[in-house]
Amino acid sequence: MSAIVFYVLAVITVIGALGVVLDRNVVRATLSLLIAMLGVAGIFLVAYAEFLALAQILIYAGAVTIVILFAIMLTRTTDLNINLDNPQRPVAFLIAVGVFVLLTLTFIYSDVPQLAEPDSVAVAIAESNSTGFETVGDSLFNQWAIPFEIASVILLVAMVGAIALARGDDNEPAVDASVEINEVSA
Amino acid sequence: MSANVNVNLLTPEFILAGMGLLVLSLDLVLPKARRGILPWIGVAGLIAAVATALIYRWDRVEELYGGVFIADRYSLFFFAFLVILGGAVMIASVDYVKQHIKFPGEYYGILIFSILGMVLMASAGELLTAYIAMELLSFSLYVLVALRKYDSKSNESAAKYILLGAFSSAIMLYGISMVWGVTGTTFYDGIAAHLTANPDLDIGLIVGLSLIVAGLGFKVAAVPFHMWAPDVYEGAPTPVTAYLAIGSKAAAFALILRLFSEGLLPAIEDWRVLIATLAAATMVLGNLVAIRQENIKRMLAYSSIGQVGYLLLGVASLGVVDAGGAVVFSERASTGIMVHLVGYAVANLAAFLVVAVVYSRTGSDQISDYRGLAKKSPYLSLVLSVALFSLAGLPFFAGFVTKFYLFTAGAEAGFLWLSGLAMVASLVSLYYYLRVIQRAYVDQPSEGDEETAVERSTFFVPLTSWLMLGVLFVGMILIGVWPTELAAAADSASDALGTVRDVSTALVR
Amino acid sequence: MVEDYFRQYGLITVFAAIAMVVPISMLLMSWMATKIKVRPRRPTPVKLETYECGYGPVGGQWTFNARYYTFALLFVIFDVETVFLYPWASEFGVLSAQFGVFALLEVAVFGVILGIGWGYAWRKRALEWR
Repeated sequence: MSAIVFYVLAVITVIGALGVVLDRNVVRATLSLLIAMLGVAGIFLVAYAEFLALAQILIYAGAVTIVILFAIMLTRTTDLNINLDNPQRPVAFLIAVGVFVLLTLTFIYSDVPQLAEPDSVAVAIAESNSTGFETVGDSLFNQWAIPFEIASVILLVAMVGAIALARGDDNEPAVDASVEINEVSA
Repeated sequence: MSANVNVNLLTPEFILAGMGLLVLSLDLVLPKARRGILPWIGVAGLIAAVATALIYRWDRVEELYGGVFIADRYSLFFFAFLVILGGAVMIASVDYVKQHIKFPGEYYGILIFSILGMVLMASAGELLTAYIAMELLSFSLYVLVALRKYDSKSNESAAKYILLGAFSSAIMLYGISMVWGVTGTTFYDGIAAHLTANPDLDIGLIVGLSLIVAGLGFKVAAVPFHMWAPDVYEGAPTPVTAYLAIGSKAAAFALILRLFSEGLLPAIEDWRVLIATLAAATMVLGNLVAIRQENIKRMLAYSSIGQVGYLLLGVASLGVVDAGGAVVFSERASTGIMVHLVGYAVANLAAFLVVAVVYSRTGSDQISDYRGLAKKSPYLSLVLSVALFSLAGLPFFAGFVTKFYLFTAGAEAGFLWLSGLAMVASLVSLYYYLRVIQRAYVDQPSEGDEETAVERSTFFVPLTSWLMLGVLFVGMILIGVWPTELAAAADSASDALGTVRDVSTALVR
Repeated sequence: MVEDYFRQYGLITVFAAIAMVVPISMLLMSWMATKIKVRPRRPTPVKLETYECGYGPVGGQWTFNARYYTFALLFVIFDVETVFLYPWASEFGVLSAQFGVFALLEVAVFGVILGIGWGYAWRKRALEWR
């Protein structure tokens, strides 16, 4: 049962991913990306990783796709006189096929114990009809507390960088704002 | 604080993070005229962090969360080295930031966060933590590279850096997932145990480790993953270029050294030739292409690619197989890498700082515009020459001693041919360094004599840069003449890598 | 029990399938109607124009203000923060029993760090609409 679901989702994901690469229209490529992301979320569900599926839909399918669409809207197509055909295309195709063959062979011949059967803990959680968020919370805030806190600093850096770089006008805000505050505090 | 984890151990890291937040917040409330003190607050915080770490962790060997974070002499060595390095970059950028960058608060705040990322890369005992620490460093660098946002070259280099950086991170993460799939762990010691128990490598593990090596190869700009480096180095603000060339490489090597010696050492027979090949390609290509460069930042970019080749030579010689077939960790190689990192950092920072000062005066990074520099500013050209000689590895300067450590370690591990190649590559590098020095000393300024007189009067070096150059100059000579203390520190750090940690008492409190 | 798990998400799949089938079948029916000559098809240039409030579209592509983009970026970042907070909230009872105040402090640090980011956005007027 879960194998059939997996293969259906895998086909959807691959079709979405191919659409991203092959479609010449950026908006359609973005929507293909959305399909691929949703397919991956489904695959997470097949693997009993409900939290990951939720995060995938919330962050990737929801937020990231929107940011990409905004970026497309902000770009004037008239500014983009870029030739999408580039002579390296066949080379890139060969490399992609090569990597695909290599990875496929790897997964066929590799002895990967983690992939052989679903994680017993995850299955138990799914059977007990709970969401499994508790296990995620437990490992995230206990064993993996340090990476978690680093992640918050990364988010801060990303936010500061995004604002500093995307803000249209540098001259007035910083100056005005600080002057105002000084007057108020004085 | 917590039930089973001694979080106090992380105090130095918390100080770093707190300083970053403080600098960022002060930028919001200080009036623009007073923002000049931001870097100095940052530097004071960095000094406090180093002091805390040295006092608090001097004799401690502890692990947090079963090895997610490791505090030992190795972490301490890199904590001190990387934080001091970050502080030096911070001081070195004071004059540049004043002139060319509109966001001092963001610049210094993010610089401190990136130092935090580097430090955590060195003390992470586990792939995912190391990865996320590396992401912190990378994100900070993406922003720093792009901070001259009205400069089209800065934009171009930031775009290239973000795309390739994200690509390499993804490759590395994929490799980590495959390693986890085969070994069931991401902890270095767990991987080592798996490798010892299964001497025949699973193909999934081989591909996974190759992907990790490729991802790290991108980060340190080893051939054939080096293409981004010259473009990014050329377009980035010069102090950031220095930081890219020194800080991110030193931190990546801190990660590589711990990963390879604590995690992958049992399988050294399987990867040493691969790494040695990468090392040979990197040192040859980096040094040969550097000859053709007309832009000094591009030249230094290629020369730093060459330096990565020497460091990879050290990585390839990290272990020797003894007569009984057991793998013995080579402390000489790891000491060599650490010592060379320090020497390379000091010399390269000095070179880039001179480039930054010259750029502020002439607005050009072309090597041809360095003609007559000795007449315009004897001090700058003296420091530049010493830095370049040190990078080439001439005696009495830092580079000679550190390369000596590294190359002998390589020869001892059976890579005589590679050490020989490295020496030839160093000779090649001396050629293109001498071209710059010839421009500075032998070639006359192209302008007429009167103009030169005018220029000399205006060609002054800002005080902060002047002092920083002096410190770096003394550092280069000091390491070159009297390297024993540095080598001893690196030795004790290597000791920590080579021995199995006894942390039974530290885990539960 | 595993069947239960799949059944829940199977329902979502059925929902998604219906959501896709309805509009597709509408288009299909319209197309069929032309095929069997129930609906005439006589396109003119005016009919084929993009419809927008009754007027023919004028000018080229609209360029959005970059400010929208800042908002989108901030949205992503706080979205990620929410995703991190959810497992913490659902696990808080267990965590606080195990670690006491530490369970709260951990997320407090996270919140303070991102709070400073939010303060930054505020002070730099990235949240204002001008």
